[in-house]
Amino acid sequence: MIDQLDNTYEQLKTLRDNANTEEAFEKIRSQMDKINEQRRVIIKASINEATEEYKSATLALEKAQPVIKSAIDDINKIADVIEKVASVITKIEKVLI
Amino acid sequence: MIFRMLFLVNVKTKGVIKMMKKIFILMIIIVSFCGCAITTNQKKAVDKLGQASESLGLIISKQLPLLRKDTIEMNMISLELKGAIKPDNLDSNFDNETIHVRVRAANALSNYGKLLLSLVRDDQTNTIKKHSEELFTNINRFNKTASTADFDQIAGKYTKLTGKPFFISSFDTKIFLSINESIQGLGGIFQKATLFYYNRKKVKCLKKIVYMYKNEINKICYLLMNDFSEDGKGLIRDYKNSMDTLENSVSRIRFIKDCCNRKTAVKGYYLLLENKTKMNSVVSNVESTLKALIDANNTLARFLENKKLSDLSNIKSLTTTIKDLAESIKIIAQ
Repeated sequence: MIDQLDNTYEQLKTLRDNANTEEAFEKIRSQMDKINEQRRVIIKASINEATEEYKSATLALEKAQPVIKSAIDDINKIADVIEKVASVITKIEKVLI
Repeated sequence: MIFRMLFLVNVKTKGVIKMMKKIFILMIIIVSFCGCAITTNQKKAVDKLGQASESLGLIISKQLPLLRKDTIEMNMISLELKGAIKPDNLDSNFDNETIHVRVRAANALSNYGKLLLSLVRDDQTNTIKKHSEELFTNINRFNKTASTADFDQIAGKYTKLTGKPFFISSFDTKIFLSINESIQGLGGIFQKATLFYYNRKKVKCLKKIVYMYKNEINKICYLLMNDFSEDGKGLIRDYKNSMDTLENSVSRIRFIKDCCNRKTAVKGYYLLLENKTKMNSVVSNVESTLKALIDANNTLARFLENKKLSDLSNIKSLTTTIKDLAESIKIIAQ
């Protein structure tokens, strides 16, 4: 999961710098902070990879990546990314409970 | 006639005895100077490994508090720019206890190097004893203060590198008593006069130290390797996370209008560049140098057991590796 989170974080960095409004920029920035904090917790915690929550979170991360990529090419799709990443963050939170 | 013959035999016997005495004295001298139980190559190998271990230990023990200082500095700027930092956790995972465990480990590496050097460089028994006691103290404290998570990280790193499970053995303090006894047995100046026996005892002592501390040195190296590994779960991963938080906070400069905040963001940007350079040049080198030290130490242990082992290239190249690392640090510090 850490590798997937690292990739997602790097993709979001590019998207954040492409954002053309302050609002979109701040939303992506705040999501990046959350992902960074989750990475920090995941590294320290011993997580059971066999749980449904874990599988669901990794699947959500996998599905988010092409959406972010497509928004990097077309900045008008940034709203889709914000929605997708928010769902990823919620799913990871469930893993960390 | 008989008396004359007896006289000649007597003279010849005396001559033979005199000659045998001379040969015997010469043999004692040769044995004393050349018959040491340690070969020149072994001496060179121990000397090189000793130097490398001492330097690497010193480098790491100096770098760790600096990394903590950088982390606090980065987090403080992130906080000023309203980044995602908790004000009561500015040092992240670089807390004092974690750093102390690592500094003790690095000091033990340095003590190990000093001890090997004092044994091959004919230091006084008291000096050898002092280095041995320092090594024991640091290794003992390291084992007592390292957390379960630290030992898990050691096992994880070992398994990742070798594919084998790592069974952590507890540090046996009897080791020290046994080594200390051997060092005491070396004796003082008088014993040094009988060079052959002195050297034989010293080699026994050297073999004991390298053999008995091998696992402990490996444990320390694996923990520090994990800390300095970018894909590990150790301290550098945390350092990188602090860098990411700062980068994310600094990126707001596009929309920051307040002059003071802009100034802080620029300061943060420069700090980020500086720390990125440090991470790329020093940190990754530390990991590979530690790996080289583990390999060289294992080679030395085998070499001391078996004089026929001739491939010492990894011990020879270790000095260059350490020099490269020290050079990188000098450049960064300028």
